[in-house]
Amino acid sequence: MEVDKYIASGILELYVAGTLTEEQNVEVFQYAREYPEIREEILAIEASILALTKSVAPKMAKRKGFDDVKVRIGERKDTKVVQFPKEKSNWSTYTGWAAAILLGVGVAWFYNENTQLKSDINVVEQQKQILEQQIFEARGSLASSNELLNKLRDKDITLTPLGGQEVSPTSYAKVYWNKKEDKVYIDAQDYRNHQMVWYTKYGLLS
Amino acid sequence: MDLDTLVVRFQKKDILAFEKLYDMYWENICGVVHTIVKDKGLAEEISQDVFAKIWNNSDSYNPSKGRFFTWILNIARNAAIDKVRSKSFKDQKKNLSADYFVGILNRPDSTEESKEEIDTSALKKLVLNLKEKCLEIIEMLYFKGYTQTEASQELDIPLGTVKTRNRSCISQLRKNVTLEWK
Repeated sequence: MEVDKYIASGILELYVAGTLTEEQNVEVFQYAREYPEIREEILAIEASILALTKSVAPKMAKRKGFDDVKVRIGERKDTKVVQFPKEKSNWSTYTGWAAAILLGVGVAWFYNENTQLKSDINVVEQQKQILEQQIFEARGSLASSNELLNKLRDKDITLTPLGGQEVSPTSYAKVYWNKKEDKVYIDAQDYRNHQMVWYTKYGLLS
Repeated sequence: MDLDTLVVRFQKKDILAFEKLYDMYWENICGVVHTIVKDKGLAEEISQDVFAKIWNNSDSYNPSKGRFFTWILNIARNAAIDKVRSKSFKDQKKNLSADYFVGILNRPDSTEESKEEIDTSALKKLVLNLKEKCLEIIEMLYFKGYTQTEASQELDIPLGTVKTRNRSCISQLRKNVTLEWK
């Protein structure tokens, strides 16, 4: 076995790279046990690859640490190390609470507004009913006024103005007499309590 | 405690031995993953998973089939490459440039204050005097996990040349590492 030649062949570099066949690996392993030079060479090659791979490791890495690996392999029960950083969870908690409070206040405000609007609607509804009633009454009043006016305008009507007596000389009344229909309408708007209208078959007496 | 003993204890589920191995290799694993995924947070996350994975599959490591670091390097590389090929990664439209650490070298010098994720000055010292074809072959074999055959096809050179060229390139790297230590 020419150890130097074996080393110079480059097989040990491939051994460290892990690209040899299973049989070649076993062979190198056995030679390494047998020949210290081969073992030393393997260690030196590995050291250079370790230096190279280490140099490309990210800066400030290894934040998770071995505890995190322990959690992953079930050797540690607490999941503390895989949680988010504390500041982050606090921040999200505060934001969550703030959002919840805002929502609560918003809902209360809307509820209040809604109640107010409902009561406003009730008031308006009532006012509307009152106005409708008034319109209805006004229409009735207008109809009866028109009817009365038509009756007074009849060509068969005779108008007799009545003066006041001594008790109330300024009082007056008007009498509308429809001879044909034998009906009398008295406008006694200004005839106070003391006055009376007498209607006989002979005529009108105040 | 030497490495072999640590690995034996690790395989016997000794958590303290595992923690020592974690401390020894975490940066190397994260470095390899980072050159592939090009995202610091993601690289850390994948690296943590890689260590969890090697603990859960510690039985599958056999010292006669390779170095311990070679074993975890292979697991890390595969995890990172799987991630890069995953749909979620592609959806994020990550920079999928083919170069790994070669690309890092082309960046301007980083300072303490810079936002660069890697201190490129250390890498630059290590690969000093290494030719482009050296960076290429080292990247393929150690970072991309190419086989000797794949590298020979990709570089269009004979199979034997892959071995010898890699040997001379690693020799230069070793010189630089030794200079670094002095």
